[in-house]
Amino acid sequence: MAAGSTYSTIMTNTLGSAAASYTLSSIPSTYTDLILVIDGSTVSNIQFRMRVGNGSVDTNSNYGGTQLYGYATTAGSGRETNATNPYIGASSTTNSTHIIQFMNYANTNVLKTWLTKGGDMGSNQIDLSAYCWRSTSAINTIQISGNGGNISSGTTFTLYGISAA
Amino acid sequence: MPNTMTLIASQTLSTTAASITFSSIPQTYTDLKLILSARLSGSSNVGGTIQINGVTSNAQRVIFGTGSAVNSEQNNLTGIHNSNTYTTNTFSNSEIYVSNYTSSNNKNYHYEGTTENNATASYIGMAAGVVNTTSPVTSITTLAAGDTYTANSTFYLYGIVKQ
Repeated sequence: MAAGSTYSTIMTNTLGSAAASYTLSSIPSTYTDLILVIDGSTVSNIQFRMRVGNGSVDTNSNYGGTQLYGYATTAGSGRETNATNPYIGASSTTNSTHIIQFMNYANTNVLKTWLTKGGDMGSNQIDLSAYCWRSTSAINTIQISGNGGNISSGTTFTLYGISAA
Repeated sequence: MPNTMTLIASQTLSTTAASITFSSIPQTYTDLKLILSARLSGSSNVGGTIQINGVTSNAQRVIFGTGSAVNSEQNNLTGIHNSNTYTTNTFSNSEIYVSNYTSSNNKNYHYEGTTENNATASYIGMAAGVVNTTSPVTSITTLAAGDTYTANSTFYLYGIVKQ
């Protein structure tokens, strides 16, 4: 019997016009991990940020994370505690790639965590971070926004599901 | 349902090589992922640049750690590989991800990799870069930057399709 696909495309979308945010909803709970690939830009040098939730995104101060970044010739680390709209990475009018991996996103026995990696040449920054959403609810909604500006038209969001077995 | 992630081609070196090229890349995927397990013949562990469609002009932002320090730089090196001073028969692990490789945008990519060494000195790094070509990607070359990859270094190219 042939094995099922381990790495599957759940949804994909390309923005037809600039937007303040983009939401992926009705994410099925049938996978083990999720990978979200963002390929695009923003209308100015700002940041990509993200909220997650079940049914609707959590806009409360229930997020925390640790960042490692390189900016020009400076390497640094930062923390966000009790954040309401956690950081993904720097963005600019130059196209960049950001990859977010959610582990055990549908497991209702654990708090939700994810890893982000990406970089933006336009803002001379590379980012790596680990975040936690202090909720045991399954993630079925993800909202990406531009912090202080719009996400550019042409930006793509592709969500993959990874099955453990 | 077709596979989302498919092996396009692979190369395993039986002798040293200064570069590895994957050409005639089919245009039927969305993203590309190149996974390397490599070792260099020389004593430098900073090796590897990437060419897309033969274009060498690229710039990238790199952050890397050595086990005792962290640095941020702008350079065009896309590879942190085990040198011949590292633990015998040990290879680095790295990945280069090129998103939307058939688009008419300049090609941005993400690199991450680590050396493996039973010693206090080892490297882990991550980079974001861009290659200034708006043509769809039909070839990818990874070069050992003045050095050569040793035998048993492996290179796997995967295609990822979003629909």
